[in-house]
Amino acid sequence: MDKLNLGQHISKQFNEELEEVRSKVLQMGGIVEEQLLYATRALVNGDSELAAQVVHDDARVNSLEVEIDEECTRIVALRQPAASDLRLVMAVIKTITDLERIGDEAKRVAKMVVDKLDGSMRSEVRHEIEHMGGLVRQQLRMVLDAFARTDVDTAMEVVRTDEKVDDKYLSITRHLMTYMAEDAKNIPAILNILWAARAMERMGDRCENIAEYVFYLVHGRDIRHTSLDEVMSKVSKT
Amino acid sequence: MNEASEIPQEQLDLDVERSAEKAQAPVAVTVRDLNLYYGEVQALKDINLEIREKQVTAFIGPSGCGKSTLLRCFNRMNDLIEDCRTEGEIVLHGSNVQDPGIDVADLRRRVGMVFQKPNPFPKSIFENVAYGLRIQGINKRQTLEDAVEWALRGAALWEEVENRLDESALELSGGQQQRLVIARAIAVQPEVILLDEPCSALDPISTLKVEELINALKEKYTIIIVTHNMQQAARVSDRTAFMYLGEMIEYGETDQVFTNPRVKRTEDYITGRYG
Repeated sequence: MDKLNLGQHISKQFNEELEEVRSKVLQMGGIVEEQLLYATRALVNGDSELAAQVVHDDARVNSLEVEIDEECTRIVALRQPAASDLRLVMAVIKTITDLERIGDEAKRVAKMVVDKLDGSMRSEVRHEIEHMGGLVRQQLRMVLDAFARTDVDTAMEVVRTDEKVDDKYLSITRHLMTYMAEDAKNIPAILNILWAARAMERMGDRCENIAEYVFYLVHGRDIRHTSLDEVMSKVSKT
Repeated sequence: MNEASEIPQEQLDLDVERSAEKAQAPVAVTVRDLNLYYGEVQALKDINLEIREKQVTAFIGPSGCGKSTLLRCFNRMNDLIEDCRTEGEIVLHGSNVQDPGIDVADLRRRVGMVFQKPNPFPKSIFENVAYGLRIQGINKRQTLEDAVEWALRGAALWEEVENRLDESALELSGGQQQRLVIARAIAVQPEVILLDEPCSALDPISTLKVEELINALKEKYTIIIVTHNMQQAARVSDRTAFMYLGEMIEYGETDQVFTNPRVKRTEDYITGRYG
């Protein structure tokens, strides 16, 4: 039952409704992916025009979230979906919440560029932020791909990648602490970079959430709040 | 890191722990290697299942899949059909109902049945419910009155009819008639109640009342229901059996069958896909 076979319902209309919801999630994911790319670039290059674009795109993401939510409510009310159809609708409702929040985090980073940063980021930090942004973007791309293809292997890879993102975040934090200790005058500017890094780390966590919904969608099992090791050891015991 | 996707479905079954308590309920009816033929046509193929006591078990499946036929085996209603032949065992609390020596009238007291269309007798409300008791030779007025009130209360109908017990049962609405028939079935204190699409002729409000009733009745009785309404099966039953072309395709906890069926054919049926 790995594949959803969305086109196989006796009701063609139901096929279309589910397909529509699914493709809108991917469309929403595409916009959020772009927001993340631009926000990272804006942050690293101090590009406030690009940052403004990210803030602007957030409205599209928000309205898609509302639209998809309404569509899901309608499907639940009128179609009473069961089994994999039900899991798809539930997974979509949860996924779009996390996607919208990722968009919000990107907006937060972008706003910081517009309002606070003076472009005086040290090159080591710039490099690390860029790298971290790349990792999170990779997570997001993979998880959208996993959702589109109901591919659990890729979803689990997203969970794994999140550990790298967390490591990167710690490493950036350590660097920034050193700079703050060097010269207290830098603290306000450095704090902003720290908040931006924190926002990226949260985006990674949200990608991980979505990966867990993909697992639920495919296997019907909820693995939230279970570490990867726990999932594996539970499995090997049975 | 591909292990997760290779986990066999059974091992991923989260419901196991949750359902352990339900699964431990004693078995009321055991069906073993049941085959049934109408003449040359085999209508049931190697059916094996255990029906738990004081739970609601639903049989679902497309028309002609054998679910009503299977239901009718439990109180030997198929005996009334010519050319019908069965093999295998159905054990109800220790006794094989297929045993030719069994008292069929007594079996049908132990296993009550309610049909798709309410079928009250053209008698008063009171006499409808008292009927089974009278057949058993119980005629003492007080005993009958107590039993009728108890059964009508059990069927959630007492308050609607207590002042009109002498009126004809045929004057009741369809939903009331169906609950009356259920009262008639429980008046003789059966062990198992069979419901063959009990709500398909009822309006939505009456349907909800009967579903409420089913939920209340399972405190005391083992209930087996055949329904075409999958939402109804999902709402009222503890366990669900999916049948197709005379075979038992999947049988499990209702929650699991409706959220994460093991067999693709079950999935196709309950999600309305081409099988």
